[in-house]
Order: sequence, then structure tokens, then C-alpha cells
Amino acid sequence: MHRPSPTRGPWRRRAAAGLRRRWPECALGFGVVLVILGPVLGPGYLLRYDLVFVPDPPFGAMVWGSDGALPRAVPSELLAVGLSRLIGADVAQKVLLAGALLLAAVGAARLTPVGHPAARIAAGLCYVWNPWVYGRLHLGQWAIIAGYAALPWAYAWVVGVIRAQPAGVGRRAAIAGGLPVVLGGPALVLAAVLTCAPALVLARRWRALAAGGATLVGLTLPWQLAFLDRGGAVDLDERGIAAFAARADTPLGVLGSVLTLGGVWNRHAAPVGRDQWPVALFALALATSAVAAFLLSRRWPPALRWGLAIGALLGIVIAVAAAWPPGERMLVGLVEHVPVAGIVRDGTRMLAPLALLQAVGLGLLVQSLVTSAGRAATAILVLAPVLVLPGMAWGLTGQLDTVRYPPEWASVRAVVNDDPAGGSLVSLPWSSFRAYRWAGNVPVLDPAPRAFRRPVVGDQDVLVGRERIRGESRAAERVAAALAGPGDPGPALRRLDVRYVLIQTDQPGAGGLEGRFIDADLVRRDGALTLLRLTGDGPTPAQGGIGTVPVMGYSVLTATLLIALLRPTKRLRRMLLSGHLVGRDRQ
Amino acid sequence: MKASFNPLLTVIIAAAVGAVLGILAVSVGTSQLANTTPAKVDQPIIVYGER
Repeated sequence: MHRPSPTRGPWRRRAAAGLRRRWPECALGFGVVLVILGPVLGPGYLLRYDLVFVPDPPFGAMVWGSDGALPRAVPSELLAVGLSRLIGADVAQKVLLAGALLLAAVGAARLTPVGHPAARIAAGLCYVWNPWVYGRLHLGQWAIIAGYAALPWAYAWVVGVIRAQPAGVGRRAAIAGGLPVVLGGPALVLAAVLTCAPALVLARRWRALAAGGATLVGLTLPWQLAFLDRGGAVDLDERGIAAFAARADTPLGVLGSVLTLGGVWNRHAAPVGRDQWPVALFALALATSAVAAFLLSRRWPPALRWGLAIGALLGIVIAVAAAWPPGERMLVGLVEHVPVAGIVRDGTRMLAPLALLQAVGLGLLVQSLVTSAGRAATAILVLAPVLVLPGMAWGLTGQLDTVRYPPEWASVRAVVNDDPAGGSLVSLPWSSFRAYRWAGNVPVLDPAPRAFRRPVVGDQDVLVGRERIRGESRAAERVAAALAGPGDPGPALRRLDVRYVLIQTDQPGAGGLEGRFIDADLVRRDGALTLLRLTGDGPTPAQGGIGTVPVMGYSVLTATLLIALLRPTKRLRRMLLSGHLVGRDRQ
Repeated sequence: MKASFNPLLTVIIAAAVGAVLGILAVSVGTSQLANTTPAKVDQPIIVYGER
């Protein structure tokens, strides 16, 4: 006979109880989503820099990491495309962005060992409302923000392990919340290691450390296999180290900028006002107060405090290294010899552990002030992250906006995706970024690789100021060489298995391109898109399936997720994730 | 009398308060931001960014 468990009530009762206990976090999470993303929550696409969603995206070569480029979009693109197929791409885009901000705010507030709602709100607000998140939002790096949002949850798991807390809903929530760290790619996985590993080492939780490592290996296997499948070697342009190095966005220099969670390489991604002394000094005072409160508090055992501090310090070192000539030379040497060392390029991403430390520290500071100081002082401190960075509100003060794709994108996409013949598509003009008048001329990655099922070959170089940073795709290099030759590049492209050429005629450099393809068939000329089909001999096999490598990688990822999340596999889950072998660790 | 708690109402009120605070923050920062231009590229110069 089935007997209801006394510990498990109806889900509504449990949800209400959770909400009653966690209402400050929930209110904060929804509040920041509304305040930051309010102007873009309506219909349409948010297109800027790295943020590219297209209508009805296919599970194309880019999703599986088999398009020849570095698999930067693995596995985040699979989630984006899968969700887009369920609820529509423009809605999926907002759901993912809002979900990341919500997860970050709730996670940091939930992690902070304080009781007062104001203190939890201060911690959550500090973690989500800072120059780091501003910069990544500005650059449209939703997956990086999702990985960042998972860090407080991952650290909550570490807290549970070190404090030997009993398994329960809280532990399961921490595991579930920590798993999205893999969306942030190798850089945020490294940030997660920096965040969690030192505390586990200091507490000598070796089995938990191994379990966490195994989980990360399982989750990142699609990326690792796709990386190995393309040869493993990466010829990373060493000029990228200096181009993406931290820069001073305050009068406090690089170190001061980094300590206040700024220093992003792109001057336009730095919040307005940070170059003013009063703002910079206020931000520095806030940051140092939070760090001091964190280090002086006794609410966590030393391993948790010093572990996160060590992780934050290592992150700072990585972030500033490229801005210091000897450090830059060291990183260049590292990148030359270690293929995956490129993940420390754009090193300010490694400031995520520092952001978490400061958020927890601010929560602890507010908790200590709640009883000793007045309400006004407490309120000012809670809202300090907003006061020092008002430009983050309302879509980064109007910079975020939604647009709609012109109708020609749908018609061209249908023609190309309905063609059963294989062969890739070359996107022209030869530039990795586009600037569409209908999208406000904001630089945005070429949407073509996400719009078509077949591999899309386009320029992989990026321009940082006047510096051209070479991309890493060998296929792109071969196509670029074919395009650089005199005369009709069609035959040379056919030999490289190119079937279609897409020319975006509203882009700089598009003039005269169509005329070069003398023997190509004009398939469609619609609005600002011209689609050509190359004729002549060339290997054009039928479009292949997903491939063995992605299937293997995602099978392991799925198995890791199931082990981590499903109750029937409790034993395996313990082995892999939850660190319940703590007892043995302690022996 | 025992106080009752309505989670949904609390979330709605808190979200509204959050929105008001955000708008307030924008207005506070307006003086600082008024003389700046948003970081959109006026001409289609397609650079990823500038240091």
C-alpha cells in the first residue's frame, strides 16, 4: 500500500514553503530581470556582438561543433537551439538571458550565510549588478553569464560538502544550479575550478574534489571531443593576448579597475561614469569593504573563506597578467605551447570568483549593520551596487533593443535548408561581424552560421581597433585563399566542397562581389540577400548526419546530468557529484 | 492575530518595487549619462571592439 511520505507534501505546499523562506531572493531575482531586461522582454531579437539568435534555427554543424571552427558554441548552442524549437527563438533568447540573471541573483543571495532579508538581497544584487555583468551583457555573451550564474550554486555544493550537511532539497538544488556552469565554456569551467577547488583542497575533501572534477569532465566532453576531432591544435593569434587584455576603465589603473570587477577589454563595454574619480573611489571603497567583511567574518569555516579568497586571487592574477608586459610574454609562450591555454585570453572572465566573494562579503557587511546602524545606512549599502552603476538599468540605459529579421532571411534559409545535397555555404562579404541598419548598426556576429543546417564558412578574424586578430578555422583560411585569387573564385570554392555563396549586399564591401562569380547560378535575389549556387565539378555528397563524435560527447553529458539529477541513481550521483563520501574524506 | 502570508502578492509587490527602484536609479544617473552617446556604431565600421 502506498503511504505518503511525511517529509514530502504536495508540490504546491513545498513550493509555498520554499517561497516563504526564500522570498527576498525570488523578489530580487524577478526585480533585477525586470529592471535590467525590461525594454527587451517584448517580441523581437536582441542582436549585438556575440548575441545572435535566428528564427527557427536548425541543429546545424555549429551546434555539434563540426563546422571546422573552434567549438566555442558547444554545448550552449544546443540548449539555445533546442529551446528555440520549443518556444520560438526570440522568446528562448529572453528566457535564457533572464534565467541567467535570475539564477545569479538567487544563487548568491541563497549562498550568503546571513539571516536578514536585506543582507541576502544585498549579496544577490551585488553579484548581478556590477561592471562584470554589464560588460558581458553589453557584448551579448549570454552563455558566459549563464556559467557565471552557476558559480554561487556550485559553491553552495562545496559549502554543503565541507560542512557535512545532510543530503536534501538544498543539496539537490545546489547541484542543479551548479550544472549550467558548463554553458560558459572552458573559460567559466576554469572559473568554477578556481572558485571551488581551493576550498575543497584546504578542507582535504579529496573525494569530493575528484567527484567534482569527474562531473566537469563529463559535462565538457562534447567540447573536448569536438576540439580533438578538428585536430586538437589551435594556432591562436598571439596578438589576441594583448588585444583582449584587461584595460583600465577607471582612474585607478588596471589593478583598481579589476578589483572593482571592471577592466573589460572593450572600451564600449565599460559602464559610463567609471572614468570619474568619485565613482571609481566609491566602487573601490565598496569592493574593499566587502572583501574585508568576507575575510573577517567567522560565519564560514576557514577553508570556505580562504578557499574562495585563493580562487579570487588566482582569478585576479590571470586577469591582470596580460596587461603586464612580462605576464603578456608568459601568456604568449603558454598559448604557443598549450593548445587550450587560449581560454585565459580575455582574462577578466576569471574575475567571477572575486565577484562572488564581494557579493557574499557585502551581504555579511549588511548583516552586521542591520542591528548596529540605522535603516537609512543599511538601505544605502544594499543599493550601493545600483548607485555606483545606474547605467545598468533599463537595458543598459537603452543600449539593448530588439529587432526583427527582414523576411528575405526566411526565404533564403528555406531554399538552402531544403536542399538535400551536401556542401558548405560561404558567407560574404568576408567579415566575421555584420552591422545591419535595421539592427541599429551595432556590430553583431554573422547570423549565417546559425541560420543554415550545412557548415557555413565565413571570416573568423576579428578587428579590435585597427588590429586584426586572426581566427582559428582552417576551412576559413582555405576559402579566404580561394577568394583572394584573381578571376572567378567559383571553381576553387567548388573544389573545397562549397555549394552555395550567400552575399549580404547591405554590408560594407559587398559591391561587385556577385559579378566575380561568373559561372554561378543565381538562386535568389531577395532584399539584401543574394544566393548563388556554384556549378562545376566538386565533391557534393548528401548532407551528413550528426556524426559519431557529437553523439558520443552528448551521450556522456546526458548521462552525467542524469546521474547528477535523478533520484533513482542516487548511489551513482553520490559517487559523481554530491560528495557524500565526505565521511570517508574526513577519516 | 496571526499574520497571513501571500507569496504571489509578495513577489508582485517586490517586483514592482524593484522596477520603481530601477527607474529611480536611471533618473539618478541621468545627469551623468545625458551628455554621452550610446555605444552604437553610427557608420557600419565592423570592428568587434576598441580598447
